[in-house]
Amino acid sequence: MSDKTIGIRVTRFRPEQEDAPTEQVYEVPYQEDWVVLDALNYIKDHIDGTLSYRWSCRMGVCGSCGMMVNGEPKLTCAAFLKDYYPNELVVQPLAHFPIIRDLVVDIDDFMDKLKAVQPWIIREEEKPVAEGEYLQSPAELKEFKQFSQCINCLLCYAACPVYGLEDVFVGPAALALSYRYNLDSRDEGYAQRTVVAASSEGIWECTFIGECSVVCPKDVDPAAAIQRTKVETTTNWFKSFLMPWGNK
Amino acid sequence: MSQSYETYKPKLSPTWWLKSRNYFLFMMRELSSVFIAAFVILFLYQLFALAEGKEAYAACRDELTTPGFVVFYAVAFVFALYHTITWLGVMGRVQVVRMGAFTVPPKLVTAGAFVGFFFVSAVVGYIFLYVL
Ligand code: SF4
Ligand code: FES
Repeated sequence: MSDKTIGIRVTRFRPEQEDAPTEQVYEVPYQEDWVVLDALNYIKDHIDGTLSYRWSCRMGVCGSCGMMVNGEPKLTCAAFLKDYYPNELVVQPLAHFPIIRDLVVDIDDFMDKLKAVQPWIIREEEKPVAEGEYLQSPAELKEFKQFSQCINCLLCYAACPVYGLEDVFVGPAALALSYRYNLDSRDEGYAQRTVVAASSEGIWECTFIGECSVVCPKDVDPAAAIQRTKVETTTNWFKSFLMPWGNK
Repeated sequence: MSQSYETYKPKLSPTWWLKSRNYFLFMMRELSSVFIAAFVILFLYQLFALAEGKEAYAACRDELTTPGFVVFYAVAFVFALYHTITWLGVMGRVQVVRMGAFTVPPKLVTAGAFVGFFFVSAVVGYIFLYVL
């Protein structure tokens, strides 16, 4: 291990002993191939076992290690120390979410919103299992694949000032997933999802700041999904107005 | 969902838009509409003056060509240009254009939007400069 070290300024919040978050600086060894999560694990294992944070896969898949690194939402398992060294690094809990402890935030609000947009295939009538699966062509898959890459890391919510100001906003990832299922050729749940997506707390809250798409580690582009949903619902509204005999 | 633990809810500071370049540029895009709206009001004012006759229009023109107004037009023009470029620039991401089974690449959609914009601007410019 090298002699070099790097300072990590971490948010601490222990509700049983303080009313508001504080900060604590830890000096950890600097390794060129370490990510921020390695530094946090070092603190936990060698300096202060009371530090709390979430992580699981360490490979950008589970979406649980999202935190603010120097003020920007990042997957800490994908943010390298070498990009910040030799400066002190500030690690904070994901912005806009209530803090439970240290770097752990409460994501119940997102879970409720995710459920509300029904991110699963809805059929008007399910066909019996014996009749086999619902088939889909590669071209049909391509239509929504980008939007299905979401790992629910919530970096997009932490980057969205609209959510920070009005947490009733359904938010980028949930709306992107709503759009993803609407695009799925096997799905028939457009009307049910649109009740939530096109409500006053849905797509129309979005002012297209676009930062959600900038920070998304999976290139989901939730901002585009939201704007496309705006175009689509508006077009469908006009169609139903001008051609009330039409299907949609 | 019932919650049986205490949390700390941070508040967004009113200066959040000064904390990153992208947020700041977003605010400038929003601010551009104020200048555009003000310009439209001045334009309508000119139209009303024009409807009232030659003299009223000449007086109105004098009023609106003071150095202060010229500076305002220059600033409004820069804001209008910025709004237009950023608006057209995201066209490919927002509007999916399909031709049968073929989906037009987003970059081409954006390029088409710019070409359309320049074409319409040229037509409007021509009408104002040579026809009216
Ligand atoms: S849309 Fe991107 S940033 Fe948002 S939760 Fe999904 S993967 Fe994360
Ligand atoms: S630990 Fe799973 S995404 Fe970072």
